[in-house]
Amino acid sequence: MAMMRYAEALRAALREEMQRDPSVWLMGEDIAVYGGVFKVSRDLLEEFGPERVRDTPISEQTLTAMAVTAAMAGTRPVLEIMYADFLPLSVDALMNQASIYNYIWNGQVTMPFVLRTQGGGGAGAGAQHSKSLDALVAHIPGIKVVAPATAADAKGLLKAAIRDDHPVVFLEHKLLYNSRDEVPDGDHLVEIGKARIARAGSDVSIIASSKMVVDALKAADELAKEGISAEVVDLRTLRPLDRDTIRASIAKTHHAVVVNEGWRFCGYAAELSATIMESCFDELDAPVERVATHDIPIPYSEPLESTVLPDAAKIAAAARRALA
Amino acid sequence: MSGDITLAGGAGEYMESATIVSWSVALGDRVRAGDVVVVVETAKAATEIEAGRDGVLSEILAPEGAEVGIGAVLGRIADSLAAPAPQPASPDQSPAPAQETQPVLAPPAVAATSEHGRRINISPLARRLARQAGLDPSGLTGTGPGGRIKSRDIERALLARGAPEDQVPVARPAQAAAQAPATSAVPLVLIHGFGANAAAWNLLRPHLDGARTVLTLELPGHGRAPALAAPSLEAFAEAVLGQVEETGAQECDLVGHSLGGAVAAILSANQSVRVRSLTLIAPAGLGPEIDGAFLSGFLSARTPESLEPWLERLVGDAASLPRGYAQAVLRERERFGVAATQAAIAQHLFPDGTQAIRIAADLRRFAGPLKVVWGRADRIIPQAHQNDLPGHVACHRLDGVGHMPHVEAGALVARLVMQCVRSAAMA
Amino acid sequence: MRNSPTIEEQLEMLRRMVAVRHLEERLGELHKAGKTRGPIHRCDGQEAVGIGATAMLDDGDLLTSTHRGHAHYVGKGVGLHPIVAEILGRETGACAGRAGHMLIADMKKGLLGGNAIVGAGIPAATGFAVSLQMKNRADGGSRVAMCIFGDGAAQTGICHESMNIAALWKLPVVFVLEHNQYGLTAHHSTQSSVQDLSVRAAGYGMPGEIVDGNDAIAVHRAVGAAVERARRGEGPSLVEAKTYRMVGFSTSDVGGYQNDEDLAVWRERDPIVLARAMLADSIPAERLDAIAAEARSEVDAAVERALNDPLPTFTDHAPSAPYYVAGA
Repeated sequence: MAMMRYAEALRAALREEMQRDPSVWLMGEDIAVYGGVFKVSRDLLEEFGPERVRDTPISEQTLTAMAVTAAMAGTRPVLEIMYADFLPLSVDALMNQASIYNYIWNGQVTMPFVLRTQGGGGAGAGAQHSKSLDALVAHIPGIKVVAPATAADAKGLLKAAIRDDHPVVFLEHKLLYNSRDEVPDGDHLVEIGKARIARAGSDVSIIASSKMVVDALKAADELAKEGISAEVVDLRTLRPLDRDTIRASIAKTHHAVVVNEGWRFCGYAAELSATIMESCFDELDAPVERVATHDIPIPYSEPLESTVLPDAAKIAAAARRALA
Repeated sequence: MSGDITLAGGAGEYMESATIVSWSVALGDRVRAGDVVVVVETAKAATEIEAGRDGVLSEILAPEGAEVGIGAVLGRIADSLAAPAPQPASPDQSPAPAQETQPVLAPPAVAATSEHGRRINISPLARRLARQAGLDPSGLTGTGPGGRIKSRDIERALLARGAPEDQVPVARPAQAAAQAPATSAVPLVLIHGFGANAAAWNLLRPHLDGARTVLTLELPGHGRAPALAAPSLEAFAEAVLGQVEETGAQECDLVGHSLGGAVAAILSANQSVRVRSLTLIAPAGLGPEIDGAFLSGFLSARTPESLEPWLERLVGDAASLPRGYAQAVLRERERFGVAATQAAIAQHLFPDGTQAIRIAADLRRFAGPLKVVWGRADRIIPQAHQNDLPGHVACHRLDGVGHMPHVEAGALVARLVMQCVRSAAMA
Repeated sequence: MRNSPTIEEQLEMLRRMVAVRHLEERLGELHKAGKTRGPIHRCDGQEAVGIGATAMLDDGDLLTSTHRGHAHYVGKGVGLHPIVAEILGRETGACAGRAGHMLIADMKKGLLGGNAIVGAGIPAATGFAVSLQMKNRADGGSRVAMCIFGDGAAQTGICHESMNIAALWKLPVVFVLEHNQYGLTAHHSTQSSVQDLSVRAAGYGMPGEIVDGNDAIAVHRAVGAAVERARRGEGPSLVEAKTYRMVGFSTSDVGGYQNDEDLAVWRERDPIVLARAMLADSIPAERLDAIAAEARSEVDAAVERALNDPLPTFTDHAPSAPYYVAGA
């Protein structure tokens, strides 16, 4: 085990996979010479050279489409899209290209590419640099979507994503890059599609991903002081969704709070809520509580931004409502 | 012969509930004993329920699509439409009195509505718990937001009426747990035998005194109970004791069948929960003999065809085996993966077809009311094992009954259990 | 002349053009008879581009096509029967009935594939070219990617982004602009202030050339030179092949926006007629007739066979697919 920052864990994953497999290469804006605006790919140009670590023009739509077909033609691109807010530019390539080929071409092709991006608010980056668009990408069949909350999972899931033969959208969070935790040594892989119990509890299940797991754990601390035992489920993968772990947790607690940093309306939390209703309705002792971002553009000024984003206090309040 | 149409003998074992697929006859239709009257579905297998007597289908209590609890009366056969069949008074012949019979549950679409059509504000979990416990929630006051009935309200209601606690999965938010009053009733604890599970008591339970709190526990490696790394009689007893202690009970009455009987005997001297009475049904541990061929055949059977001949050896009359029993046993092995565990248990407790456990000394020491019930036609453990029991033990020998008196003669065994329990209460 | 096709190659191109034309005619009939689903986008009159531009490609070269790609499919070597069976929605189709006529792909033949998002084939081919460049450098190969796209697609943002990146990274890709004058009902003059789109090539620092898109030999020469350049690792080229769409946008098009004089002029320049004329000195008419008759009967046989093929039954996905069915 080694203490590692989230960003370092991602870099370790990239480096190890590039050392392991010469067909893995990186592209993105400012990722090579500068090492990425969040420094995830720092030093990799020096180690692997300009053919495998490519700075690109500002052409997200084309870069995503290129990742799809480059992957089809025998290499494993890892594309960095600087902000999740730019994902709408990638959506045609994901939804009309990557999503369809394996199916409509009857399995003739696979597309082993990873689209890394980072989202989330709380840094005062404004309405075009703070969004969480989990639902936008998780809506697309054939695209796997992961959103790690810890450095250990960031490394293990990125390595697994690079080795996956199908498209993976890898959602990072700008406020997590500097968070540190223990990362297992060696070839640490985390299976895509498996949630983890971040904290065990018996009264209410808080189901979250990415930075919301951190907030959910804080909420659980608060609730514990009131004698409420909250279980925090860290989804880790948004699609395919680990329904079994969710079901098992709610069968135990009978109360659910679903949390997602995306917009509330038609958001990812709504999918979680529907899934719970479908798969364990008879286990529910109260309506599912949903915590998500207000349905407005994310404002700049601190008191405005913190009002619209979910946080530990809002999660704890939702848990109390569920248990009322 | 009763006019009630029930699941008993049709599909009951191992099931929590069944769904009415279709009625084969219409109200007022004449039927003969043995005619198929209704088809129910249990665990994805359709089972036909036959008329128990000649007559006319006079009532349909469970409509098609309804989910019904085990023991529910699905409908009635009478001499004519106008005159419902009289309910026999003797508990030996009749099915359970009305209050002990689990009521028919409405299909899910109307489950949130009371008899009078008023919508009940109730959580899904609370509704399910009420259904399983046979409780009509329409009269309850909900303590959730807007008066919603939550699981804690059901629990409270069940405790108040002394309903079977074991059927209510514990679901207590922290606050509710603090408010729940501790049980004061002395529970009647039923311990099943080797290879069975809590459902083994389904045919006996309706005949027990409804006012008693009944705990049907599961032995480690059986039903849903996790296996033990090293199975021994003492470890089994400890596991059972732990489950009884969890209820907060200070005292209990124990009923055990076969291996469960031996577990009960071992427990009789424990210091933590006082055992008031013991009723042992064909208990293990009173002699070395046991049908080793049955054990190995039962454990290795993989199909209903190979399992059924062994199951028939369990009972005096093969006809008294519930239909679909073999499938239920195999399904349980598949669902809970208990086959390997149970083989290991058998190897430990009954090595080489020999009983390696002994309970005679425990029984000699036990001063409370103590009954042993045995079928004269038991082919698994010789009923002669009870011949050497000390004088304070009451021995009941049942003619025509095999190794499963609680299944084959549920009403009678229940009566004996209650006699034993009552005499303990008076002491 | 460099990259001129041999007589045998010309005969093969003629055979393929006749097959494509007959395929389009048969598909028109089948559509009217209700045997196909959705619209069919025919390429009557444009066959010389698709057939001429792909004639020098190998199976290891990767081609992206359009929604009007039947000539590209045939030119890349995909069999007539898998094409027809796919369009008729049969289990025996190139994609087992999942793709339909606009999206046909055949990995073994390097066709990846039709695309009904106008312009999407351009970044797709550019992406292929990155992988092919890396693989060529690793194994000394000389595979190329090709994108055949229309004048409508040329107006997309991704066309600009792709050509910029292709030239910047010297990618082995050839951009073949099949300029048929119409984007759905809109004439090219309403879409761009520039008549010859190939002038844009200069802006990316790559060669650009205009050819007669109804002359298969001219297309073959120009595209052949661009393919050779790409194989040498010298980067992308743009070839603008001028042609004309002789039929409606699709079988659901009621027409009325193309003028009869233009149609008459271009009918005179039918690529099949031109190709025959250019072979007239070297090959007797009887042999040319026989080749054409053979091509047509091949199409008819493919149609008859496909009509008798079974329809597919639904399965969630192909083997190893990433799809998850709700509730599963």
